[in-house]
Amino acid sequence: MLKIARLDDRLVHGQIINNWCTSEDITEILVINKDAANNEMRKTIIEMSVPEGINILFCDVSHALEIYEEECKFESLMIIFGNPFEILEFIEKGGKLSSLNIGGMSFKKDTKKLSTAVYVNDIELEILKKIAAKNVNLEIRLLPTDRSRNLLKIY
Amino acid sequence: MVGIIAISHGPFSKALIKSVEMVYGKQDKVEALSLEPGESMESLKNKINEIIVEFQVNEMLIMVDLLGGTPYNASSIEIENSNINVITGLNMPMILESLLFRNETLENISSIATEAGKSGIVNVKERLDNLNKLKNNNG
Repeated sequence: MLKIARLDDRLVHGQIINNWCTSEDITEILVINKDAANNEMRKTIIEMSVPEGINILFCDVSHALEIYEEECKFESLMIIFGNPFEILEFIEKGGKLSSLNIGGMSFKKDTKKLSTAVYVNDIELEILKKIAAKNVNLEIRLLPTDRSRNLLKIY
Repeated sequence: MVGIIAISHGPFSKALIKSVEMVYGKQDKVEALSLEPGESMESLKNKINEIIVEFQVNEMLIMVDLLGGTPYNASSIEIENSNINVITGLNMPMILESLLFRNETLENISSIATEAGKSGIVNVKERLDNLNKLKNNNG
């Protein structure tokens, strides 16, 4: 089943492996990010860091739509997106998400701070609102033990 | 000379280099970087590249705190294209030992650092028990 869908522009890193994968008993991580899927070195580096027992796949939105339901049947799945645009694309093309964990959006120029690890610019915020309008609960939460906050209640 | 960069989540690496310099004195071409909350991988990569340019060394050893963390991801992506290596599990024995072998090749200093990092970790109670057993057997 799909345990958690997360937005994190750092993709797979320590917080995810050490906290989320353990607390949710994740057996497979599906990274839906075109840039990473097309970057062999980036993929290899992440693959090397994922513990044994956790499978990891990288794909773009179209490929993800072909496989994710099947993966949900057999795996305890975590989906990670690197940006809001591909999430909206995923949903608009038929992907189903009921909740999105917003774990990390790094500081960039012209961004607003939503939490210590979440910064968004106007365009990204618009996209997130469009995602919320598709009945997706947007929660800002860095770690499983953190308090969950609804993004729409902040903005 | 092999340049050294220590990188951590937050202030660990900077404090560690201060501790190292307390033991071995001020070091040339050794730098610490901290990944701050909300900082992107791109930003960290830029900082790494700035130091590489500044050091003007042929080879660079980057020590990062965690396998799989953003410091690891940001530095390892460069390995294929340059004379850079990355070691995870940053600790004090690793740096102290490496500083004695700065003129070795990157390959050699990498092995030395990895071994020193591991051998610096000792379960003292267990080692003491083993030592006592050995003494008793001999006695």
